[in-house]
Amino acid sequence: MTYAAEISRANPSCFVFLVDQSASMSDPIGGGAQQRKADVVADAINRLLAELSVKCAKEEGVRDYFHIAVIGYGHTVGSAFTGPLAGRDLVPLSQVAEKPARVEKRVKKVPDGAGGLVETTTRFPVWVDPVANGATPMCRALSRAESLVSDWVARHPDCFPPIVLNLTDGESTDGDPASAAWAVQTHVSADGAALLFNLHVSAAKAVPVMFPDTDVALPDTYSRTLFGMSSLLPPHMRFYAMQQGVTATDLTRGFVYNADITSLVQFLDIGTRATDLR
Amino acid sequence: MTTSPSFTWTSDEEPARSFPSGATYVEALQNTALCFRGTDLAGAEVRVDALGRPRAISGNFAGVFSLTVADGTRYAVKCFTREVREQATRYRAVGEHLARLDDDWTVGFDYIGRGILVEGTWYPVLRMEWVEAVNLVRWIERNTDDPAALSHTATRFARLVAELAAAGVGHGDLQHGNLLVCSDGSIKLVDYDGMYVPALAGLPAAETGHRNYQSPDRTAADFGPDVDRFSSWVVYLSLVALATDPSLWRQLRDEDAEHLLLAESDFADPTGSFRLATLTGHPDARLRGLAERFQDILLHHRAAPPPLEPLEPFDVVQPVKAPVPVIAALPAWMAERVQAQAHMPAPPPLVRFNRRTPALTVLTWVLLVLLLPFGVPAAVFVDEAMAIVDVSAVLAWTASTALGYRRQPEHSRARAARAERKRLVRARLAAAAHLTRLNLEARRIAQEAERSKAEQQRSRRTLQQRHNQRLGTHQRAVDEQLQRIDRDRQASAARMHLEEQRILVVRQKAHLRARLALFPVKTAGIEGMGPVLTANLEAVGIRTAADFVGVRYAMHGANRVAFFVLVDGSSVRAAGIGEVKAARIDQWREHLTTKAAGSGPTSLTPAERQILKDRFAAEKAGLDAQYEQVRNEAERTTRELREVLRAEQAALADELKAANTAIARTRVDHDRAVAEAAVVLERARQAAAEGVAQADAFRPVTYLGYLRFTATGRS
Ligand SMILES: Nc1ncnc2c1ncn2[C@@H]1O[C@H](COP(=O)(O)OP(=O)(O)OP(=O)(O)O)[C@@H](O)[C@H]1O
Repeated sequence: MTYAAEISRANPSCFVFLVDQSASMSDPIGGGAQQRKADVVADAINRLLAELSVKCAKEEGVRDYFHIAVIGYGHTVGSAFTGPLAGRDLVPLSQVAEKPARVEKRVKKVPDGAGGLVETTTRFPVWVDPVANGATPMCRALSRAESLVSDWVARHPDCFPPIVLNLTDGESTDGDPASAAWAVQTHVSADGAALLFNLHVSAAKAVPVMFPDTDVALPDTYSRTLFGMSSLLPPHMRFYAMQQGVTATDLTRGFVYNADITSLVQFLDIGTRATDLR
Repeated sequence: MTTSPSFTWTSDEEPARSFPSGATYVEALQNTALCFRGTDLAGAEVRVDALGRPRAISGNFAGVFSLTVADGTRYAVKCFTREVREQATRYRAVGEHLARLDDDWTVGFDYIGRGILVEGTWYPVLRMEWVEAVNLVRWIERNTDDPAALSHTATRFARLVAELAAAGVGHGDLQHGNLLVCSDGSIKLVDYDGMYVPALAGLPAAETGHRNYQSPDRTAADFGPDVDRFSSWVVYLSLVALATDPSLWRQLRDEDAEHLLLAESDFADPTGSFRLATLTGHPDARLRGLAERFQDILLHHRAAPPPLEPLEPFDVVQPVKAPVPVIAALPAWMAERVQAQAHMPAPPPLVRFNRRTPALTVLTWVLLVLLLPFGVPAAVFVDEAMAIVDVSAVLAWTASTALGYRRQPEHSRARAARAERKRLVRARLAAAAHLTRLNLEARRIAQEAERSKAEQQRSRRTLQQRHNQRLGTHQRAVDEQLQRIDRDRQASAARMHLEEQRILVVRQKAHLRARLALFPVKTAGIEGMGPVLTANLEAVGIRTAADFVGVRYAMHGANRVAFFVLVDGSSVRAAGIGEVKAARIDQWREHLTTKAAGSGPTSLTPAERQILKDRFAAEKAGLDAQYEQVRNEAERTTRELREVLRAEQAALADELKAANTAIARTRVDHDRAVAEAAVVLERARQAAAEGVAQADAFRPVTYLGYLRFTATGRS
């Protein structure tokens, strides 16, 4: 059975985030919203890192169930961490949790439970800042991820397969990303092939699509290419996805179009066995 | 700190829905006045992490937060991240059942249906009394060198299991994270999500527990008071083993592993399990017995294990207080030595002979006295008979002392100890050799992996190159075709231009003729051209300036004769018109021609041009269509080539994946083999050292020693 390896500190897995930082990311997200794509993507990464830190927090603190790399691609291809982790690639999760660049106080209007809205302040840790500059060397970014992943599985041959998550507006400028994408997925641990998931932010169409099993509802070739290069969700992730209300089939892929991808972290299974599986 | 546990609930069944994530709860909990609005927890102080954000303890189904309310009471508040079916019903039943118990493992809770407001929606929470304790793995880590504490906890655990059984309760997920050990040594059970109480009979289990504690055969249908049997064997066996032999903690698990001494793989494949084999082969008989019992359960009763069979309260063999902190600071090799010394028991006392045979002693002395001064060789020269007696006596003495030696009880014990030493030393050597072999094997595996990596890169490159080549060839062919069509198009345009010119010339000629025809020779008034000559010209067909196109001259005898060149190219002579007149007539014509040319057409009329264009349009359209077709086909072929590439890539990907999977498996197997071999070696070293010490205690037990003992009574 694949994608069933226990994720533990003794047998950790890794996450490689790829963040599109090309000039086109300064365009607005579309659908009337004023946010730039770069802001959306940086927010998504910061949320994912916070989510993973919480997911792996135990009695004595955050455990190194994962090692994390955030690679930006645009003007250059390299670590996208800002602050104390700047320049580093794979960082143990406990260090990620400890060392954001800063903790922003964000003011938000939330429902007060009595039909009204009320302003509240939350602390929002930031590891990655929005950047929009240069071309979109997605192929180079993917091959960077590939070498991290291949190194990782050589050192942890029994691990839960590494997960590469690419956040982009889709317009690769250095070739067909599909080739680089399949190459990532040829690296395997004894538990299965590395997983490649994609978040596509686009102004083309406002209707979000989450974890689809076909590309018919996708608006353009970019999104269809990204869909095609995304891995199928492994069975236990599918199970958790369904539990979270996502209709998932055998053909469901790890692809999200203009929507929140943090739920992915909830599809991970650490320790306890999932009901109805195994 | 145990307050009297309370168990309450307030909720109706919630419909199926998605739950907030851990980080979403962390966000909501930054404003406890808001998220707990209208509940007892409103405004409670939440424990925060280094970043000042609420600090979660996460499980697979929930996050637990520490909250302190105004009166100082501290609660553990559990926020659910996944849906649990019939959660409210379950907690109500569990609460009612536990309220009737007086067991000290219970933790009081309230299940609150409208517990926490997250982004405008209320979700349930479980508010529990805060348990000041550490989970079992962390507790063991702190107590590995305290066998007494470990055995105490084993006993406590067995009692806990008995209490659960007596109460008809199944916890459902007995595992280190849910077994909290308090500072007074008592054990608290947390996480009642999957708990069975009699009122829940008939429901399926809400979860099937931690993989490293559950039978591989357990399904959601297994939900009853017996649900913890398997996991209680796992926990109890581990605790007993650790109390017996603390080094097992380091030897049988990776640092930070999420299990005790046994894990999922051991349950799935008991016969191939190294860890289980280490326990069932342990020198300590009690531990061995317990391990064998569990092995038997794994092999024959895995789906329906018997209840835990705890040992009689057992004494800890030798509470060794290893200087752990010192060792931790030392380099590994050094630590090993220090530890080896620390764990080395005092050498056993020397074993000596203590059963002397008086007859033999006498005989020995007699022989010594008689023979020694002369010796057997000397006797040979003195007297043959005497010599024979001597030799026989010596032989008899030798035989009886040898027999006496072998009859000594120390002798057989020494032999056994020496054989055991030999066996253990051999085993140690074999273990060392095995590890060395494996380490050599590691190099081979690494090389193999490198080779495979290079090979894979090569095949990927080849694939890409082949595709590029195909694409290049295709593009060149397309370019050629397009260039040819372009040439044809240019040629067609050139032809149209020529045709236009040709038609223009025809038009201009017609114009000229029409103009010239307006000028009869008759009225031209050319000098010397009277009616007769005009008539002569008419006679050869020249009436107007349009009727001839020039004049040529030829010698006729001695005279130059003028010929008129007609429109059809033929030449005629006109009677009476000589060289001079002909020239004048031609001049007249030339003059008229020049004048007429000035008024002639310089281009085609739009109508004429349209006709021409129409004539060429079909040709051009044909070529344009060809061009488009070639381009479309080219694009299709490019797409097809890309599809081919993708298919080839997919096929190659499968191949690479298979190869890489094989490599990963080899690595995993090898890593495991090395780890196991290292443990085997470590244990063999310990055993051999002990064997050597045991055998060394029999140092005095030798034949010579026996002789001395026989003679002197000392050994
Ligand atoms: N009442 C409590 N007091 C103190 N700590 C607690 C309490 N309840 C739970 N915890 C801590 O929180 C952790 C997670 O809680 P719990 O096991 O209930 O969550 P879960 O999501 O159901 O986890 P699991 O993965 O074990 O199913 C526990 O391992 C324990 O360390």
